[in-house]
Amino acid sequence: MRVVIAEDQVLLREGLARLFDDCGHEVVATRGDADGLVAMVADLSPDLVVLDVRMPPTFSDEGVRAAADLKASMPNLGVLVLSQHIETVHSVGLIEHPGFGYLLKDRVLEVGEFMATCERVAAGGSALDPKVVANLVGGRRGAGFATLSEREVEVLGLMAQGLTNTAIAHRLVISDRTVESHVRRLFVKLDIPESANEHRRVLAVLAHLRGTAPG
Amino acid sequence: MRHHSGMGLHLRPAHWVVLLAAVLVEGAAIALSWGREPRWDSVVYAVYALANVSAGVLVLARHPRHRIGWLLIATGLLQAVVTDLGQGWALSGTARGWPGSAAADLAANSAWAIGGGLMTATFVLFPDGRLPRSGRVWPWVLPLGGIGSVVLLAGWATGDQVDPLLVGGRNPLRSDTVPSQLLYWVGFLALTTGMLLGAVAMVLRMRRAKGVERQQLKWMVFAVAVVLVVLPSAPFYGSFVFVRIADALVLTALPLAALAAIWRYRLYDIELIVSRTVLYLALTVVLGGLFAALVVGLGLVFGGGSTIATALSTLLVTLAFRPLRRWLQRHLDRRFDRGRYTAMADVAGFLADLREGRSEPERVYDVISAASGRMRSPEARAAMVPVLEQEASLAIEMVRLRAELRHQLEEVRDSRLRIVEAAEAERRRIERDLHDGAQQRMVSIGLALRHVQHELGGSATGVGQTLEAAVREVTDTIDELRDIARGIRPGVLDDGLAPALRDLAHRAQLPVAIEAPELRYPKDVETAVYFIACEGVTNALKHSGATHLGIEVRQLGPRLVVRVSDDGVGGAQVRDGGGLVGVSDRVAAHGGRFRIESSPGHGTTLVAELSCGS
Repeated sequence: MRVVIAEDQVLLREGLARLFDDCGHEVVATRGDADGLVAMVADLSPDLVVLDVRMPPTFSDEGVRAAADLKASMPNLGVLVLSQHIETVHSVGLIEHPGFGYLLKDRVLEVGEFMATCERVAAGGSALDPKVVANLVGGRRGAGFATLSEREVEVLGLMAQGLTNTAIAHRLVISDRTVESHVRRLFVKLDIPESANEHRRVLAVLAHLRGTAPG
Repeated sequence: MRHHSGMGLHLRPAHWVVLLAAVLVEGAAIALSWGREPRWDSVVYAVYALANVSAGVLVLARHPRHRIGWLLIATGLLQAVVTDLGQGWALSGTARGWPGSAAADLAANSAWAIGGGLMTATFVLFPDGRLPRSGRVWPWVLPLGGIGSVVLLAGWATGDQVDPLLVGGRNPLRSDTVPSQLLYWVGFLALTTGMLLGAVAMVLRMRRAKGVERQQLKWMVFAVAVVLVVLPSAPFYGSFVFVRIADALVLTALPLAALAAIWRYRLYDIELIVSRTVLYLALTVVLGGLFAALVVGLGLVFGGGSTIATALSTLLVTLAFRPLRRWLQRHLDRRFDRGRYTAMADVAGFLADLREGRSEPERVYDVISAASGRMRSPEARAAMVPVLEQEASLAIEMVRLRAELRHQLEEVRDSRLRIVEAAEAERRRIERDLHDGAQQRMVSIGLALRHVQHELGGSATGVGQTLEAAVREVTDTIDELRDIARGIRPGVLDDGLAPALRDLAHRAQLPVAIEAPELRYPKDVETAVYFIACEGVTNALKHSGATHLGIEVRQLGPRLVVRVSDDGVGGAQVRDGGGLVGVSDRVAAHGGRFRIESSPGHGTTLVAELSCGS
C-alpha cells in the first residue's frame, strides 16, 4: 500500500511513517500542512492519505477541507482523518463517501487494528472510531433499542465502525454465521434496509443511530 | 421696558458734587438747628434728605437719564436746602436778626406742599421714568397733584395755619383778601386725591404688568402700604419713642424702595419680604396680646404681680412661638406668594413620596424643574431653583450616592468579568498545552515504543511483553490526560455548546434530555453554561436520587437561560462548600442571576440566566 501522511506534529508524523514502514507499506511522502496536498497526491497516486483534522495555519479544519477536496477529485482514494478528540461536526459530511475513515489519534497505538482499518479504507470501505460510535450508540434510548441484546449492540457498534462481517466475527471470536444472523435480526428489529454493499450498510446504521434518514 | 445703558455704576463728577452739596447743606442745617428743636427731629430730617439725594444719585449712576433719579434728588435737595437749612437759618437767625430769617422760616414750613407734588410725580413715573402708556386713572394724577400742590401752597402760605410752626409766631404773608382756608382745603384735597390716585394707579399697573415691571411696582406698592400703615401714628410722634423710630424708618422707605426697584434689587424676594414683614408684625401683635392676656389671667389665679404668673406666661408664649409662626407662615405664603408656596409644597410632596418608597431619588431634578415652573416669570423660576435644591438636598445627595454606588458596582462587575475571562483564557491555554501538547507527545512515545517492539521481534518475546505493557500505560495516560483536559475545559466545546452538552449527557449514568440551540456563543459563555450543567448534573446524581435529568438552554433576547432539572427528592439549597455555591458564584461572576426552584418531593430545577453578549 502506498501512503501519504499529512501531519503537522513532527514526532507524530515520523512515528506514523515508521509504523507504516514496519508493517510493510510504502510511505511515498509526508507533509506538515495541507498546502498543495491535492496536487501532490494527484501526482503521486497513493492508495491512502492520512490527514490530521487540524493543521496550520488556523488549526481549525484544514485537514477536513483537504479530505473533502481529495474525495471530490479522486473518489477512489482512501482518506483517513485523524483527530485529537471526538468531533462529529467535521466527520459528518465525509462519511457519506466510501473509502473514508475517521479515527482518534490514540487509535494508532493499536497497531493491528489500525493497519486493518487503513487497508479497509484504502480498499473503499469505511471506518469510524469506536469511541465516536460508542457515543452515538450510547445516546440512543429510543424504541427498538431496548429490545436489543448486549451482543446485538456490540455487533451494531462494530458495523457502524465499518467492519465487515468477517472482521466482526474475528473481533468477537464467533463464527461468521452467528454474525450474519445477528446482523439480520438487528436490521429487522431496527427497521434498517439491508444492503450487501458494506458502505451503504454503514451509512444506514449510522443514519439510524443518528436518527436521520439514510442518504 | 427700556434697558438703560450698562450695569456698572458710573458716578460722574456731577453726582459727587450733588452728594457733597447735600451733605454740606445738611451739616450746616444741623449745626444751625441743634438744640433749638428736638435733636431727634434734626437727625431724622437730615437722614430723609440725604436718603433721597443718595437714592437719586444712585439711580442716575446706573440709568443716566432716569427721571425718577432727578425727582429724588429734587425732593432731597428741597428738603435739605429749603426745609432744613431754612429752618436752621430761621431758628438761629430770628433771634439774631439775620436777613431773611422770616422768609426762610415760612419757606421751610411750606415746602412740604411741593414735596407732596414731587411724590405724586414719582408715583406716576415709576418705575422707568416714563409716563404710562395706558390706563384711565393716571392722567388725573399729575394735574391734580401739580395744581393741588400749588393751590395748597398758596393757601398755606397766605393763611394762619402755619403760625404755630413759625419761630416768629406769625405769618408775614398773611393776607385777608386771599381765601386762604379755601385754597388750602381745595389744594389739600386735590393733592391728597392726586397722591391716592397715583398710588391706586400704581397698584392697577402692578396687577396688569408682568415679569420685571410687576416686581418693581411691587416694591413701591409695598413701601407705600407701609407708609399708609404707619401714618396714623403721626399724632403720637411726640409721645412715643417707638413712633418716632417707626416714622423715621418709614420716611426713608420710599426713596429706598424706589432705588431698589429701579436697580432691580432682589425683585423676586419681594413677596418673601412682604410676607415675612407681615408675619413678624402679626406674630408680635398676637404674641404680645397673648402675653398680656396670660399675665392678667394668671395674675388673677396666682395673685397680681406674682413671679409665677410672669414666668408661666413667658414660658407659654415661648412655646407658642414656633407653631404659631409656622402656621402663619404657611397661610401668608399661600396668600402672598402662591407660586412659591405651591413649588415648596410640590417638593415637600416628592420628599414624602420618597420616604414612603413611592418614588425614587433620581426624579428630584424633574420635580424641581416642574415645581419651579409654578413661578410666573423666568427670573423668578431661576431664583426659585436654588431654594428648591436646598429643600431637596437630601434627595440630591441620595442621587449622588446612588450614582457613585452604581459606578462602583459597574467597576466591580467589569473587574469580575475580566477575572473570569482571564481564568477562561488560562484554562484554554492549559487545555491546549495538556491535550494537544502532552497528548501528542504521548502518542509519539507510543509509536516509538511500537517501533522498538517491531525491531525486537514483536510481542512474543519477554522484551516485547514489557514494551506491550509500556504502550498500554501510554494509552491509559492519554485517556487520563483527556479526562483531565475535559475537566478543565472539554475539547468538544470547540464544536459548540449543544455538542458538548450531548457529550455530557452520554457520559452520565442516567438518561439526560438535552434541549439546546445549535448556535455558537462567546467562548466564556459556552464554558460557563457547560460547567453549570456539569455541576448541576453532578449535584443531581449525588444527592437527588433522581431517575431522569433534563438540561435546557434557551435564548431569551440578550440572555441565555439554563435549566437543569431532576425528578428527585427536591429540597436543594445553596450551602457553603456545596456544589451549588460554585454554580452561584460562576453565574454571579458573569453578571447573571441564579435561583433554585426546589421543594421537597417535587424535584429540583436550577435556573441560571447569563447575558450571551460579550
